[in-house]
Amino acid sequence: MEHEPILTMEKISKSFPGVVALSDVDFRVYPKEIVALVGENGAGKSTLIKILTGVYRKDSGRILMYGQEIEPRSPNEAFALGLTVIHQEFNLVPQMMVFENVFLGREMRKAGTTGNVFYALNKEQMRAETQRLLTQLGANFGPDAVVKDLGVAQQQLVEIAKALSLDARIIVMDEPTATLPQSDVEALFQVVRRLRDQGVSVVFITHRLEEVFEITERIVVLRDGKNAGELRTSEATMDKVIALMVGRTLDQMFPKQQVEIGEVVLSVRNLTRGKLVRNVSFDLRRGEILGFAGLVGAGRTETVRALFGIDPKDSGEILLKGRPVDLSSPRESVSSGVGLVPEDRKRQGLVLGMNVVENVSLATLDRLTRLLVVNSRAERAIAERFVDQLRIRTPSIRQLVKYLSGGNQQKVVLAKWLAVNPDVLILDEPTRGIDVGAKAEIHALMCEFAREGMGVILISSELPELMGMCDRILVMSKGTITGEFVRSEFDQEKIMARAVVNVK
Amino acid sequence: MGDNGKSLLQKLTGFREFMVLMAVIVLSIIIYAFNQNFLTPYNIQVIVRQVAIFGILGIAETAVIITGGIDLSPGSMLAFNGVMVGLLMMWGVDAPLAIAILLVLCIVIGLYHGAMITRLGLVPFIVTLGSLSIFRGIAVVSTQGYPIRIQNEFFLWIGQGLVLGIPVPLFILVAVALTMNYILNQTPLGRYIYAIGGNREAARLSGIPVRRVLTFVYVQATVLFGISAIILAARLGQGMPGVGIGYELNAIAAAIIGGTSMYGGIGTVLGTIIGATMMALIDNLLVLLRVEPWWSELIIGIVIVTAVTVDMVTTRKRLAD
Repeated sequence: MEHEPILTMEKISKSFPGVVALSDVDFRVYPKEIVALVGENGAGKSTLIKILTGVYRKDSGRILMYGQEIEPRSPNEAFALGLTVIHQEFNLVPQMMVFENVFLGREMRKAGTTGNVFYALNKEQMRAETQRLLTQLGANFGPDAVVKDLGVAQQQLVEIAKALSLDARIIVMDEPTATLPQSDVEALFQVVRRLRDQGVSVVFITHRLEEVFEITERIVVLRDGKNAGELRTSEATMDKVIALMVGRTLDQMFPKQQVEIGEVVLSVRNLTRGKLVRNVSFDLRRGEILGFAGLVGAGRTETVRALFGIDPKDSGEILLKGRPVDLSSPRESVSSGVGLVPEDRKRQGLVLGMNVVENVSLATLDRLTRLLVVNSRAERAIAERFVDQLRIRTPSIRQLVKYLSGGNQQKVVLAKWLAVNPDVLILDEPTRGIDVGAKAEIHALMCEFAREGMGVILISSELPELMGMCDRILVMSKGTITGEFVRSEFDQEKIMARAVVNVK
Repeated sequence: MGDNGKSLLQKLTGFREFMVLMAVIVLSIIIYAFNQNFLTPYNIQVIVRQVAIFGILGIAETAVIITGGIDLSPGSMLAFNGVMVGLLMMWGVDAPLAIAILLVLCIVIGLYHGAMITRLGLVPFIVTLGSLSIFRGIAVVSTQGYPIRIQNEFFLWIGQGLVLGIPVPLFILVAVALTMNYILNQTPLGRYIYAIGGNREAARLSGIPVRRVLTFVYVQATVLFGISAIILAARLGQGMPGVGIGYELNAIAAAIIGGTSMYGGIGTVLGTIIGATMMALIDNLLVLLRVEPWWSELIIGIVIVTAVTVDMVTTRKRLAD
């Protein structure tokens, strides 16, 4: 790492109306290295990368690659320069097959044909090359699989294969492990290391600091749009990195407190839907935080979707506060006092074109209505209360939520469900893709909810989170509950063992 | 819309409705320059009656398009409803009762649209396209192609009457506009309509009764088509099976020019009325210039494309920061 950097971003600044996103930021990438770019949501990581890859135009500063100044004005120009990004949101055409997506825009032609657009496609070669990449990544699907039939984790592998096939010099990975099950994460790391050895540098953006320590050599920290520090991974500690990210030390990651656990508020008996929810039964008590552990595809999300009425149930009984209820639609669930914070906040939790107030009141408008009129003053008061209580960072409550960062968007979704004041609150991956500071805040809030007597169900793919927050953990595998652990019995290996029970 | 330190002028020009209103004013000045007859009471009344009909049709479409759907039946419903109400009165039914029965019939048809769309999951485009054919067909079949004379004085007054020198249809338009505006802006139902258009999945997961709201939207559309049909039949003095051909395009155009987005989630009543006014003015301009009627379709088409393009370009510039 004493070499010259391949990439130098110097004194980069960028502003949007009302917001300074980046201010004099420096960022370098050296040859053959894996470097982490970390920071809270809103720190500027995405903006920096978007400037690098031509999505945004910088206001000032320089970008140099191999010593030459560059000005990528579009993603295609960036690709040509050897810069690729694998985003959190995929750029795949769901109706097409894997190999078609991998070679989208660069389709191979059959030998002997000419023309720019009207040539014969060399499908065999594209398939073969795609298969090679998929094997390298340890994928369990082939080049002919249709993307929309693949799970999120698998689709991500397609994105990675696409980037690999572009022969990049620098690959930026934006939260690549957010949706990958543990076994695939290991495979990904191996691929990343191999890429590094072959001369490709990787920029790793992640909120999972444990991963930073496992795979990266250098850590660059951004805070509030500025450089906050840079460390060799070997010399860094988790606390040091968090302190740089947040500007203060965090006392506790998982502030679990002792809460009195009351009577049973929710009883589920033999809930069944298709193959992913099979005879699921459990109880939930007031004040309890019940965790659902399992691999991606184990049926946890499907279970709560069936419970909440999003998908129709094949069979099963649900009792709320002792009384049988028929939660056949989200509307019924909400009016019965059940709330669900969904997995995908942008697609399922928010109306991005509406502002904070409108999103917060979305589930409780009927309560805010008198004689057919919405009480806007009450609505605003509630929104302001939650912005305050949840520390939602927004210039005003009339800000459209599409302009908020991921963590703040998630807080708006939480506020919406808090306004409902449910007896049971289900949270599906609530802290996915959220920075350390906001994460701790959301954890503290979960403890609040429990303390106020709510029964809380937490689905998470992060075992440390589950073990830190929950009173009890249920493990699911292929649609059935395969294990139950109370807090005193929590053990990472034992829980994982239950999670792979039905998997060959 | 936080405080970005924009001047009043900048803020105003950001409002789609304001821009279209300016276009309407400019157009009016141009027309007057060409032909002084533009501002005669008679001509203004003609324009007002035109705006009333297109305005009500447009307002109906606005709510539908906000939810991300579309209704292609207005033109045929004008014919069908006009014929139906004419037949009822011909069979001796009193005018007010005939109107009431017609509106109930519209509700039923709207419920049919709603059921096909929300229960069977059929695409609104197809369902209402079917209605476009079916209901015009019924109108033609039941009259064998001949118009039905309407002689009821009260009924004719609705389309031709004046109150304080102002055509009655204008009062009806204002009533419809105020009601729909109120619903869209002040009631939870209106909020649900925008939310469904903005993100149907999130709306559903938040407990919003999506099916019920969508059904309402299509019911209000057919009821408003019915009201518009009554005004038209009253003005013509006949229930004609041949009226309204192509009016669905005018209705949708009024909404789009007025700022309603085909992607859903955006649209206002005021904008649509201004859009309808613009279209009525263009029609009037062609008449006053004694341009042959077959040019109007071409010109309206060009206006629609221009309006939408200008909107897209200015919106993109605003969002490209």
